[in-house]
Amino acid sequence: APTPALPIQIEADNADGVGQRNANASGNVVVTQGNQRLQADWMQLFADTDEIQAGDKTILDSGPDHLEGGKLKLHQADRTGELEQPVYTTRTRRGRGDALKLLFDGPDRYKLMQARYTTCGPGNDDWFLKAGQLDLDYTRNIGTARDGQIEFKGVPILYAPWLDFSLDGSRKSGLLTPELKVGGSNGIQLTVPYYWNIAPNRDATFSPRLITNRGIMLSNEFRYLEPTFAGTIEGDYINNDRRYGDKRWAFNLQHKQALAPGLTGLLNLQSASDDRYFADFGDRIAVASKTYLPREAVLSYNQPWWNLSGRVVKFQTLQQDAKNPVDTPYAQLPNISLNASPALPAPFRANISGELVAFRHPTKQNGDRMIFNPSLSMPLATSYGFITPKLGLHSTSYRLDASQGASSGHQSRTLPIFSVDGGLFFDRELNWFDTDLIQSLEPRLYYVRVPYRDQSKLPNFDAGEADFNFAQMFSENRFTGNDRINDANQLTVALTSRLFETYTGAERLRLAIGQRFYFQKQQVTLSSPARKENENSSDIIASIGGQPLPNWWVDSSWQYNQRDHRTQKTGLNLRYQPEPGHLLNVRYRYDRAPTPEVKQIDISGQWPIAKGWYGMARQNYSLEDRKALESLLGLEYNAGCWAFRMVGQRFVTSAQDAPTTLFFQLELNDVGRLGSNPLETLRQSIPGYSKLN
Amino acid sequence: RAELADRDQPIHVEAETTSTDTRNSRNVLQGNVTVVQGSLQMKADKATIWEDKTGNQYLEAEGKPVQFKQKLEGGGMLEARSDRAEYDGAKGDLRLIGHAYLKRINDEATGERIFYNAQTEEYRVEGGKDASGKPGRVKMTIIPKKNNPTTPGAKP
Amino acid sequence: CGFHLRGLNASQPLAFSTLYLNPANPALSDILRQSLMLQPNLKLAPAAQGADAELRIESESIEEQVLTVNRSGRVAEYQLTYRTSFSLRSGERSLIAPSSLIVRRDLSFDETKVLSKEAEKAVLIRDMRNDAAQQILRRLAAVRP
Repeated sequence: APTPALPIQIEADNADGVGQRNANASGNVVVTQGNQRLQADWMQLFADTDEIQAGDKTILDSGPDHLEGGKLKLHQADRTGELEQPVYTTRTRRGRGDALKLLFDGPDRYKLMQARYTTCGPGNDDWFLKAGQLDLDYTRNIGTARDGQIEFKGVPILYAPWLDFSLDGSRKSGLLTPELKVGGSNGIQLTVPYYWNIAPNRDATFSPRLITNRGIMLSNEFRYLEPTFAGTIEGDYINNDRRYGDKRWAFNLQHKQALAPGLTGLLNLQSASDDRYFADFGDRIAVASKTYLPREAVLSYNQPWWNLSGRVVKFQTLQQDAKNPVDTPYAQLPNISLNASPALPAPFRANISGELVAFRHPTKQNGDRMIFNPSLSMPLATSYGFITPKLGLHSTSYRLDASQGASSGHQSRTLPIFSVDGGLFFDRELNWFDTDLIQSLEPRLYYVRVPYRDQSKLPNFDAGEADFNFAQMFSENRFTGNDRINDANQLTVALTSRLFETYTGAERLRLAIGQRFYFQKQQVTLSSPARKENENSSDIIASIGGQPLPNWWVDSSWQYNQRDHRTQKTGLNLRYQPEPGHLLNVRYRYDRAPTPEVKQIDISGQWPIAKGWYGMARQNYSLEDRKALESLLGLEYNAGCWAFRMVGQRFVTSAQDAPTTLFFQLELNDVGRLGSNPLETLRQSIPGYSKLN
Repeated sequence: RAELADRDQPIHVEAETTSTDTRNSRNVLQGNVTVVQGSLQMKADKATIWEDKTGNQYLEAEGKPVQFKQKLEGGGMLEARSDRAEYDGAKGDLRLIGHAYLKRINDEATGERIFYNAQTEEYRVEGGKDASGKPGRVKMTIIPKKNNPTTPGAKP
Repeated sequence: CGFHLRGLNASQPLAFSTLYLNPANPALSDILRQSLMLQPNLKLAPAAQGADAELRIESESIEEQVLTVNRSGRVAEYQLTYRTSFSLRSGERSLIAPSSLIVRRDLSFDETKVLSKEAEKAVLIRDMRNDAAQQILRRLAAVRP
C-alpha cells in the first residue's frame, strides 16, 4: 500500500509554488518526510503526480540506505523513480557500490545499471561484483546480478551470466561459484552449483559435478517449507562411472507433515545404488557413518497424556569392507507403540507403555513381539530431597516363525520390576575468584530389584549392552532394547557436587562419582560373560565437567576397575578459548574394552599468527597404533570483507588407505565462495572453530 | 482561494487615531488598528488604506507583527504575520515583508519575505539576508492530500 | 564444613506463585511440568494471562557428531549435543533473558547393533532432557522477585 501521507518539511534559501499543486525550492534544499531526508541544490514537488524531482547533486537517506548522485526523480507513494550516477551504501546492510543509473523499483527494491557492489567498507576496494544489471531486493534480501563479473584486486576472476546472492549474509548464496576438490580416488572434482530460488519457502540447487576419473554426476537438492509440511529431497545420479563401469545414484527424502491436530507424519527414505557409493562420493564423515540407510515412515498421534505411534522401518546395508561383512538389522514391519500416563490422585503417577512389533529379516528368525509394561510410581519431593518408589510389570510375548535351527512357536516372559530412587540436597555458599557461588552436595541412592527369568530361548531382535555411564547406572535394565531384562538386586550409590552462580543459578562446574553394588550373581547375559561370582561391585565412575574459569572448559570422565586396580576407560577434554579465533583443544581417550585398545590423543586449535593471518591445525594420533588417524593443517587470511583459506587434510578411511584432500577457498562476504569449501570439515575436525569474516 | 465575496464587502475599520491625507485621498490609521472586510480580518499598529479610480483597494500596514486571518472558499483558514504588509487589490497580491509567516489550510511557510496571490494561489518565499549577510533560510511544511495523487478541482 | 539442607534456612520463596509453561516443546515441557508440580508453593497456570510468570522453551535441538574414529576409519564414538534455549517473562518484564543451555553425552557406536544403539540413543536423549530440566529449575529458583 502506498506510504501514508506524512508531512513534508522543506528548508531552503528560496521557495515558491502554486497552492497545493506544486512547490519548488532552491539553494541547498533539505526535504524530510518520515524517515527519509533529501539534500539537493534545487527541488520540485508535484503534488498532483506525487513526484519529487531534485538536482544537480542529490543525497537521499531513506531508512538504512544512503544514496548520493545526480538528478533524482522519485514517486513517493509507490517508491518508483530513478537516480543518476548513484553511489550507494546501505549502513546496516553491509553493501555499497556505484552505478550508471539507479531505478527505484518499489519499497526497498533497487535496480542498478552498469553497477558495482561490494561488502568491503569505504576505502577498501579489494573486490567488486560488476554487473550489467544488479537488482537489490531488500524485501527478500536477495541480490541478483545479470551479466556479472567478479574482480578481485582489479583482476577479473569469474564471469557469471546470472547469479544471485544474499544481501544480509543469512540466506544460502546462489552464486555460481565452482567448487574444486583435489585428491582421493576421484582425481579432480569440479562442481558448478546453480541455485534456483523458486519462492521464499521453496528453493532448489542443481550441482553438476565433473569428476575426472569417473564422469559427470548430477546432484540436486529441493527444499520446501509449507504451513503444514516441510522437507528436503536430494538425488544424485551419474550415468556411467568409468571406474565402476555402470550408472550409480543415491536418494534421500526427509518429509515432516502435520496431518491433523496432534497427528504428524514423517518420511525418512534413503538409498544408494551400491555399497561403495559413499566411500567413492561421500566426504569424510559420510564415509565413516553411512553403513545403514533407513527407509522409514512414522505416523504419531499425540495427546496431552498419551501418544500412539506407528512406524515402518527397513535398512539398506552397505557392505563397506568385504573382509568383515556387516549384519543387516531387523526390519520392523510395523512397530506400533502406545505410551500413556493417566492422571492419578497425587502423589501417585502411572505410566502404561505397550508395543507390538513385527521383526523381519532376510536370513535370521522372523517373529512378532508384544510388550505390555504398566508401572506405578510415587514421587515425593521437598526442597532438600526426594524419594521415588516405583513398581512395574513387564510382560512380553513372542510369536516366532521357524528358521534354520529354531522351531516356530510362542515364548513369553513376565516379571515385576521394583526400584527406589532417593537423594538429598545440601548447599553451602562460597566465593571463588570473587564470584559468589553455591556448592551443592547431592548424595543419591538407586535400588533395583528384578527377579531372574530364563531368557536363553528368547530371540534377540533389538537387545544390546549399554555403555556403562551415569545414565545407565540409574536405569532399571543394563540391556538396551526389550529382548533382555537383567536380573537385578543392586544398589547404585552416587555423589554429585555442583557449583552454581548464586544470582543466576547457572551451573559452572559439576563433579560426580558413583558405583553400583550387587547383592546377587548375574544370570542373564547377552554378548559379554556374566560377572564373576565374587564380583559384587561395579567399576567406579567419576566425571568433572563445566566452565571452572571464564575461558576454560573441561569435560572429563574416568572409569576405574577396583579389582584389577586399573583404569578401564577415560576421556579428558580441555578447551581454552579466550575469544573467537583463539582456540586450543586437548583431548585424550583411552578405552580397554575394544580390541585393539583405543588410546588416542587429539590436539586441535585455531590461533592468530600474524595480522589478519590465522593458523588451524589438528593431530588425532593413535598412541596404540602409533599412527595419525587425522592430521589437518590450514592457513586463513581474514581481510574483514573477504577471506582466503588453504586447508590440507589427511584421514584414515580404511586400515591401509589414508587419502589427502586439499581445499583452496576465496570467500567474498555475503556474495559467495570460490574454490572448495573447507568450513564443514573445519567445524567437524576443530570443535569450536569460528568463522571470522 | 480567498473568499471572492470579501472584495465586495464593506470595510469596517477601528483605530485609536485616523487621519486623511486629502491630497491623494488616503486614510492613515494608527494605534491597534483592526480592519474587517467580510471574513478578512487584519490587526496592525499602523495602516494606510486608499482606492484607485476603478475602486480597487490598496493597503499598507506595519505592526509587531501585522496579522491577517481569512476564510478560504474551499474551507480552511488563511493566516499571515509579518513586520510590514502590502495588499494590492487590483492584482490580488499580498506582500509580507520581515519575519513573514503564512499558513494556508495546513501548509505553512516562514521566511524573510512572502508574496502570495489570492486569485492564482501562487506564492514565493524568500530567505533574504540576515543581519550578518548570510542567506536567511525558508521553512515550509506541506501536508500532502491523503493518497489521492490528483487534487480535485484545483483550477489555476 | 558449612553444608546445610537446601531450602531450610533461608527459605527464599520462588519469585512467582503461578507459572505458565509454554508448551512449545512438549518433550522438555512435560519433564518440567512433572517436576514443577512437586513444588509445594507453586501452581501451574493454564494460560499466560493471569499467570505471574511465563516460562517459554524457545528451541530444542539434538546434534550428533563423530567423536572418535578407530584405526580403520570407522566411527567408534558419537557425541550427542542437546541444546535448548529458554526465557522467563513476567508480563513485559524479562526475569531471565533468553539464554541457552548445552548438555553433552558420549555414545559408543557398534555397526552390528543398529537397533539397540538407536534405543540407547533415546535413553541418553531422555537423560539429557532431564539434566537440562534440572538446570532450568535451578535457574527459576535463583530468580529474586
